[in-house]
Amino acid sequence: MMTKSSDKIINTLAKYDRFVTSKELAQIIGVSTKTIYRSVNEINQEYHIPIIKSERGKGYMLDYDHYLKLSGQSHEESSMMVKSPLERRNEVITTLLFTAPLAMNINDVYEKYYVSAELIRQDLVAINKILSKSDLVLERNGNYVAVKGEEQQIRRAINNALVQSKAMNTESINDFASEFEDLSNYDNQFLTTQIDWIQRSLRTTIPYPYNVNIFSHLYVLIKRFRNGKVVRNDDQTALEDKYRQLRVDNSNFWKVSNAVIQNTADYIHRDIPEIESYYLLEYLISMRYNHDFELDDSISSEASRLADYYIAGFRLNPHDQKAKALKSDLISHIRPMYNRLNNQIVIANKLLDDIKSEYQSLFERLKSLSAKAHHDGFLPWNISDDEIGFLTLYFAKYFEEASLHKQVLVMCASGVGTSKLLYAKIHRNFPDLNLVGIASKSDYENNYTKYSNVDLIVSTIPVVPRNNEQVILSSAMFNTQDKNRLSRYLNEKSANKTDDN
Amino acid sequence: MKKVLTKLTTINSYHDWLSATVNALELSSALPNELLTQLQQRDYLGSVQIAEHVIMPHIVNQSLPDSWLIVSQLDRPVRYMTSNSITTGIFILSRPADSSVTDAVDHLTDESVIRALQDPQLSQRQLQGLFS
Repeated sequence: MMTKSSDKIINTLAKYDRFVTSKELAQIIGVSTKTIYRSVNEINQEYHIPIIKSERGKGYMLDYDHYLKLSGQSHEESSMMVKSPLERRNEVITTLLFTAPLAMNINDVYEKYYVSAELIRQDLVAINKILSKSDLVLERNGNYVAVKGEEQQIRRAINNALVQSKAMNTESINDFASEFEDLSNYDNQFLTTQIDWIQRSLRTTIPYPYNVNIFSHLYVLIKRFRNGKVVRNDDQTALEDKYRQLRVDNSNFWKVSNAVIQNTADYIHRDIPEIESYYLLEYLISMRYNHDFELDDSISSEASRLADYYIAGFRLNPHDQKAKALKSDLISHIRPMYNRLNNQIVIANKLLDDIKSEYQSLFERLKSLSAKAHHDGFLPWNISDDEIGFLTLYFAKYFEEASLHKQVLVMCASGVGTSKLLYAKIHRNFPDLNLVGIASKSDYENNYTKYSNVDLIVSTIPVVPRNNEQVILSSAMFNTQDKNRLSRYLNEKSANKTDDN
Repeated sequence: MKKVLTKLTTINSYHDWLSATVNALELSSALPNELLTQLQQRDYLGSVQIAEHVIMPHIVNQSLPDSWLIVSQLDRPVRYMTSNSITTGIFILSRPADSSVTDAVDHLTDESVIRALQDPQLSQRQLQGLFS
């Protein structure tokens, strides 16, 4: 199955009648060069015959005639053809959700996709299944279908679909906004101003992709109210009970939420019920901010327990300063993550592919720990790969920093020749690495107890470690290969060493 | 510590280079052979190449009457281990715990010094200046 990046690669290459390098493509599309390489392979496999030619040093070029011939479609239609079933379903879900609770003629919805009646039937089964996760139902009456359920659930489902389908290829609110063809400049400006206002009021900044989620939530709100298709909730009393504690626990956020909803009501000239302030409040407390807010609620203590669980899972010393900093980072992420999971809010992690490939073992380990945490009652939900990807980055940062605090000894045969040069070169390239000194091999072998605190020996000659240190051989030139080996070694060993304890 | 610059024109191999360098010191009795063996043993342990065209053969020997730093330039490159393009040798023959050797090697951590030592126009006076 082709990915969203595949679609963009084909469309981008179609615009250029020349070779485009993977770096250029990566910059245009906003993904890594690795993703480009992987997606090009997927595209060519999908078509069975390569439709994207590649040449070393030149990059990629679309064999456009070939591509059109294989797709059997005209140029204008081709952008529809490359949509994967997942993308098509996502678009249909969004269309149906925006219209909910009103019904739509299924033939109108699917007209532009050129798919068979059987495929439409399969799609609707799949869509119903997806919607049921948000407590929504797809009702069919002849050729008409409608989504039924509570307004909050409809809104969440739209937002999640938008974030998943559009935020993955963007890097900022502006990018994200440009994905919506029906978003006017005025609306865009209003929404951006609200995000700025939220940031100023909370005296912080909201990093990507969290800012995109709030933007998207407000965009959906405006669109629903303008189109007049909001499902009113009759049981306001029950909702007020539910939200009373939330408001008390988050009075700061509540004020901001209330003001933004008021601004929105004024902007679209509609009455917006107070419940919308609560919906927005749920979003605000589910986001990660660039500095932490002092909160002492039940979620904070649960987040702390889960952070401890992860740290214990990696067998890190919880009293170590670095581990304490890691715990603080994890709590800052887990606390809003709990709110996201509780409120069924999805965050898109566009770095996920890169994280999986760069920190594969770390990612897998966190995935398995998260499943175990769920099983052991430390985590009420099974968390998505996107969330695990974010957690992986905190651990990667910890291990990278921890590796710099290792005690490193540089060694050669005499202790006066190549080791001195190597020492200087390592220091130039890894200025934060803790180089504890230089030793000759014979001095080390005769007095190895003197070096019992050393974690790593970088040596220009082979040496057998006497204190269970790690040893890495390096040339005295300390060329790129040597640098990369040391860098990889430091990062990998730090993460893997916790396996061996 | 004695610092010497030599420019050799008749060297065909690394082995010839080692012999020519050690023999030029005019040391007594069996010491030249002992130094050559030590230098070869060091090579068995691993490469002493420190830059693209530069090697730094180095040993410590207590029978040496003095420590030496010999910068030796060749008019054509020789093969050393995996490289075919070595033109400059910084030979360090050191007495044990000689701080002047340590000081000299400290100067070699500066890449501009390594570049200057490969300059065919380098003079004995400039060599002294680079290590002062």
